[in-house]
Amino acid sequence: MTAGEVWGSRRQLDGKRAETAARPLGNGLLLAPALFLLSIYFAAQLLFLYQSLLHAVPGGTTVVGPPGLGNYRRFFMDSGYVNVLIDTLWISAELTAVVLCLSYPLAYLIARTSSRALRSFILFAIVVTFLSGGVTRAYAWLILLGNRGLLNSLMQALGLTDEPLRLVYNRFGVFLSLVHFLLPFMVLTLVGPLRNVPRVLELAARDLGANGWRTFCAVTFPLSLPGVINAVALTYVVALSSFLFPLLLGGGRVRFMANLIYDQIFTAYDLPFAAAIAVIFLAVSLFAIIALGWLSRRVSHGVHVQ
Amino acid sequence: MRAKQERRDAHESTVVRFLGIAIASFLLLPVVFIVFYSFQSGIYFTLLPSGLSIKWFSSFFASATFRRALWTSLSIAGLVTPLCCLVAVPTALALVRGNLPGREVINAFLLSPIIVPGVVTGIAFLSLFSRTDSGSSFVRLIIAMTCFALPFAVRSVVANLHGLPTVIEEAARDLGASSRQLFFHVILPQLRPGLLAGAIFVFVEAIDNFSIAAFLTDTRTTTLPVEAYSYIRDFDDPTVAAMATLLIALSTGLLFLAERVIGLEGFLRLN
Repeated sequence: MTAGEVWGSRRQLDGKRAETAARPLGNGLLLAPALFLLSIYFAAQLLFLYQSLLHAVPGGTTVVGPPGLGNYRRFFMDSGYVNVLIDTLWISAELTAVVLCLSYPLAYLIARTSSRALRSFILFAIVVTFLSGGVTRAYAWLILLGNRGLLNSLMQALGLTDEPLRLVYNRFGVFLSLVHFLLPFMVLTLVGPLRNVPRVLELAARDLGANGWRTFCAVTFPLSLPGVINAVALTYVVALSSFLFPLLLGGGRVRFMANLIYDQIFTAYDLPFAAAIAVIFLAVSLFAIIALGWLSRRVSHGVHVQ
Repeated sequence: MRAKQERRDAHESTVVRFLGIAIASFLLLPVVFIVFYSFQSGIYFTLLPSGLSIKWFSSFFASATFRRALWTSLSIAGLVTPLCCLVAVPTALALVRGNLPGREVINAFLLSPIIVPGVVTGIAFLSLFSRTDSGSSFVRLIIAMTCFALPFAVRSVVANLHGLPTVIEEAARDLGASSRQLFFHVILPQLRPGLLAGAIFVFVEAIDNFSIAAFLTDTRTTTLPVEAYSYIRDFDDPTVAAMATLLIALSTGLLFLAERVIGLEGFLRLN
């Protein structure tokens, strides 16, 4: 729901600019309510940024000055904190790679399949999953993967294992449930770019003797690449901000940056330090968005030139 | 030659189709599982349930905390959804039909809350509200959720307005429609699909949000996800599965509404 769409809409606006120059209906005042809400939002973010420069009085809830970079220094001096950051960046990259491999066939089928029933089934699965919410799904995975859950019951019934396998409260459980959580986001952003790959080019490749796999590797995939990078950017950013799934399924052992921030508030009661971690986290996320956006524009430029 | 190629096509797409069905089933697995679990009579999951019952639904509704949380969540979503739609329509008009300088920048700004991680937004609002000492927990949740969910509504309405041919509006103008008539009789009816899609997204986000709400709830005012989380930590029975089933039923209902009015593809803006 993020970076890709922000750019997408910007591009939409660009396209219509010339046409709408003479429309009298839109008026700056119409933006007032949205800008008012946005100003509350940014006031909160700015105050938060300022608080990251202060420090908490131990044992209390008060926050005192003078402003300084102490909290930031504390984060980067402690390898434990830095490791959570590196871990978050790395797991999110792994997640994005796995989710891409699973999403591409689904998006391809939605865009290309001749079977209406199959397309409806896939769309239905995606929308039901998407709308049923994070808490529902995190809880479902918690039970499904638990000692008495579906997987362990099945494996014990089939005699594959005597002892229940430990599938939750570790990296595996968090990873699997996050793959499931991220899949719909990625599929939905991939469908558009795949539909935009001109069918005639694929047919031409086939007529020239390429088989299905070759056509895919030489035509379909390269032409969808800008869209793929957009979808990767979106999924990566959503993965980075994972919070609920590691909280419920990680059992305190698997922590993302968001969980670290949460712990600073609810366990250490250190709002300024939590704020500093959040600012660092936000900076890293924004950097990832900008870098992937730049890459996407480079690649789409290359595709157009061809 | 052609026929051979088509046969090969068909063969290859069988593999892809099989993959697609497998992955889509993986998507549906937790949803189907949790619905099944919520109707089991036993406290723990068993492959062959000893019986079916609705006792976990009774247990959900018997809990005063859950009832209050359900009411709070529904009220928040019920207030935030129309609020976001009311703000999104004029915003989209200004962005798409207006000729303001810097519209791209304003649009990017308006959508920016989506890319900020929920936890960051949650603490930011927590520190704003604790500084200004304003409002009850409920009011705080409404303000935070409206700011957070607005981009979803704006995005849908902007996309919808973009797809509308301007000739219809020009024709209405030429036939003497006032700005008011133009808006209420020409533009607004055409914005129904975008408003519905946006409203569904906002509604679901507002009900489901955990990462922001976790920071703004207090002992008297909690939302369903926050309450579910604390219940899961303390108890191990299918009461939360019953809650999950209710939420899944709600979202399936919304899905069929979207399907009937705008079609699934239109809802997801795939075409």
